[in-house]
Amino acid sequence: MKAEVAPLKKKIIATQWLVLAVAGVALGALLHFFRQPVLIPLDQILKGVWALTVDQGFLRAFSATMVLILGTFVCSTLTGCLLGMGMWRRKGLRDALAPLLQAYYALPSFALYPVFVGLLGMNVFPIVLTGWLFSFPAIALNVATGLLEVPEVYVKVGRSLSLSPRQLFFRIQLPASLPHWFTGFKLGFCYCLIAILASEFILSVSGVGRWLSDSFTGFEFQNLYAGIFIVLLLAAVIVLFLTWYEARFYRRWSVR
Amino acid sequence: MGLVIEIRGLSKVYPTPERPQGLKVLDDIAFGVEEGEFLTVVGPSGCGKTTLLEIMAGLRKPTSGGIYLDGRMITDPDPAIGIVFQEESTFPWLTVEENIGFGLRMKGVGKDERERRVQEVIDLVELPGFEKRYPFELSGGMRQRVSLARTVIMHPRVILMDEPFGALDEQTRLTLGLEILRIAERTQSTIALITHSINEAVLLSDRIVVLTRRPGRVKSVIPSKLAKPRSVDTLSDALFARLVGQIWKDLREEGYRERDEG
Repeated sequence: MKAEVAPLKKKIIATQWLVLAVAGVALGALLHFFRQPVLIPLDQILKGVWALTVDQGFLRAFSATMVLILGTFVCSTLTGCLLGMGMWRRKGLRDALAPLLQAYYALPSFALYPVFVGLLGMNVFPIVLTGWLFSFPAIALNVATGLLEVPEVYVKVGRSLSLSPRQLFFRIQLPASLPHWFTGFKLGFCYCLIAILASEFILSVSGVGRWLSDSFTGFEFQNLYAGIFIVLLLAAVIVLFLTWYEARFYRRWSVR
Repeated sequence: MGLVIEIRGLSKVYPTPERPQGLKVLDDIAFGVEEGEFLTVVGPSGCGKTTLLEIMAGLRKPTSGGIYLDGRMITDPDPAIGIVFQEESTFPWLTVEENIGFGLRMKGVGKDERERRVQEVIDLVELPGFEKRYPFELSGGMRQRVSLARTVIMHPRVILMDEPFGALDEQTRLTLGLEILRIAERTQSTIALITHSINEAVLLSDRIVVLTRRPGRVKSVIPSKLAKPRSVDTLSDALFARLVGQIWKDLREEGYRERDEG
C-alpha cells in the first residue's frame, strides 16, 4: 500500500511544481507585455528581504506585530478551547452557539474594526479584539467537533477498563480528538495573523500592517514585496511548526 | 462448575418519543454462564443481543432484573469482566504494545511487569514482530487480535465478545474463531460471544442461547457435544450439521412469526 502511495505523492508534488512554474512564467509574460511596474523580480524581492532584516524601523514594527499576533492567538486559544469544551459537554450551549459560530464566518467582522476604534481608541485593543473575534470561533468549533466525534467505542473501552473521568478524558478523548484541536489552532493562528495585519493596514499608527500600507502608498514596491514575503514566510514556518508539534505531541502524549 | 455470570429476569426498555411506554428490546432474559464455558448468543437482527452484552459488561443499566458475577450484582463496569467490541477499537495513536498494555498502565502496573505481560500476550495472540507497529499498519484481523490481547492481559473472569469477527471475511473469521478457542483453553477463560453467524456459534460454543425477535427472550438453549479440540474438520461433522439445522429451525420460526404478525 505504501509502495503504491509514494509514486502518486511524487506525481502530485511534481504537478504542483509544474503548475506553479507555468503560472510564474505566464504572470511574468503578462507583466512584461503590459509593462506593469508593480511587480518586481524575485531577486530584487530577496535583496529587499535581506535589507529589511537589518532595518530598525521594520524590525520594530515586525516585533510589535508579532507580540500582538501571539498574544491574541494565546487569548483565542484559551477562550476557544474553553468554549469548545463547554459546547461538547453542554448540549444546550452547543445547540445555541454552533449555528451562530458557523454563520459567523460569513460576517464581515472587519467592518466592526472602526466601531472598536471609536469605542476603545486608536491603540492595540481594537486590533486585538478584531483578531480575537476572527480566530476564536475556528478553535472553539474544531475543539467541540473533535471531542464530539471521538468514536463511542473508545469511550466504551475506557469505561470497561474502569477508567476515572480524568483518565478517560486525558488518555482517550483528548488524544482521539487532537487532530481537530490542532486544525483549530492552525486556522486560528492564520485568522489572527490576517485580522491583525489587515487591521493595522486599514487604520493604525504602528505594526507591519501599517509599514506595508506606507510602502504601498509610497510606491516602495521592493519594501512592500519584501515585507509580504517575510510575513508569508513567517506564517508558513509557524503553521509547519504547529504541524510538526502536533505529530510530536501526539506521540509524546501516547507514551506518557 | 459453578455459574460465573448469571442473568436473572432481565428486561430493557428504551424511552422513545413515539411510544409512551418505550421500546422494549429485552424481556425477562434468564440464563447463566458457567466457569470455563464458551457460550454464544444468537438471534435475529435487532433482537437486543448487543444491548444484552453491554448490560452484562455494566455499560448499560437494565430496566429490571440484574446481572450477577459470582453472586454479586453488577451495576457498573467491573475489572473482572472484559469486553471485545465489534467496531474498530484499537487506539490509532498507540503502537500495538502500547494498546495491549493500556489497561495495565491505567491501573498503575510497573513498566517491567507491564512489558513482561505484554510480551506474553503478544506471543499468545501470535503478533510477535508487530510490537512497534501502529494499528493502521495492521490488517482487520490483526487489529481484532490486538483488541482481544488488550482484554486478555487484564485476566478478567469473563470475556464478552460483541460480534468481534463481524467486519472480517469468512476465512479470517474462521481462523480467528479457532484461535480464540485455543487462547480460551490456554487461559481457561470463560467467554460469552454474541454473533449472527450460526456456523461460528456452533463451531466455537459449549452452549448456544437462541433469542427471539424483539423484544428478545430466550427461545432455546442448545448444548453442543461436539468433540474438542475443534478444528476446520468439525465443520464436516454430522453433529455440527444437526446443530446448525436446529438453530436455523428456531430462527426460521421467529422469521415466520414476524411475517405472520405483519
